[in-house]
Amino acid sequence: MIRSIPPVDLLERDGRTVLLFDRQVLELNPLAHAAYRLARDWISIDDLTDLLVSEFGAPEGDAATFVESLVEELSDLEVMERSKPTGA
Amino acid sequence: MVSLPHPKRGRVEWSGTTTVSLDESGDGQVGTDLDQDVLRGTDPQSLTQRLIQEITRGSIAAQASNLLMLHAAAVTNRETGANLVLVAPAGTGKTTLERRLGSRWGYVTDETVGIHEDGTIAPYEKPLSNRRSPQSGKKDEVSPDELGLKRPSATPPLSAITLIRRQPGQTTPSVTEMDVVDALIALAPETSSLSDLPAELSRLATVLDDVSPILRITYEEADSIQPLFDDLLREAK
Repeated sequence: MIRSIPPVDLLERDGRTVLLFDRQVLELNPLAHAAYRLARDWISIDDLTDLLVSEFGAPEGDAATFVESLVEELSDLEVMERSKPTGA
Repeated sequence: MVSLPHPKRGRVEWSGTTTVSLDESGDGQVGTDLDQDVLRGTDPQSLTQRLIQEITRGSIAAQASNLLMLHAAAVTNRETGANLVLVAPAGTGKTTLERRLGSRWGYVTDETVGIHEDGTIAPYEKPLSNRRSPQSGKKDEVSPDELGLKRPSATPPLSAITLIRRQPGQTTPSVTEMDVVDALIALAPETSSLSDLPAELSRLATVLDDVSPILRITYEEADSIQPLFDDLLREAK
């Protein structure tokens, strides 16, 4: 399960989205912003993949792998978090 | 009794007490006792520099929820009242430019530009750090008066913002216009305590809207861009 980390502030202008966190300012591309928006509450990669495919269409290759990679990138940027595995 | 060099002027919107202890014998403890607000040292110039750093830090902390603060220098056209902000990371020639432009036009700050909600700047005419020699790591703090820098008006309005970068080989300065979103992303790392302000990004975007376009200027030597800044200061409203 994954979830977006709320920003301190968010600015949308001219189709671009900029987020302010404690220590950084980031611009998200439309796909990353959609993933971020759709993951405001805990969501699985599979469910997020379905929502993104319905919004943007299917990517070339495996959609879930593509979304997993996107989530990994957003997690590295500390704008998304993963739940700890049950029992961990 | 030791008399420490000190700035002859300056308006600092911060109040606090810091005790400065200078040990002339050189045997004393050197360091900063933050709990006691005491700076200790054996070299008056180093102590002065640290004291000014403490004042700057205290001022920034005290105004974090009021002012939008950019790590920048600012100069003023005293005839028109227009003010030009030069945003730059440390070590990119900001102070060198400030000394040249401040003596010709007017000095607002070389450290932190605090912007009020009404778009005016809070001047911070701190002493400027002057390297003792090109090879020396030591710096002296020199009063703006001693450097012949001219004073700004009491509440200078913000007129233009430039983002400056030094780049070896850029003998002819490069000037590009940035849109507000690009400028916001580029300037955000140069802000102090951005996340302490309400509606931070919107406030920064509003400031940038008012002075758009923001110019990104890349250069190698201060000599090459002084005419450009002279033109900007003449034309700024």
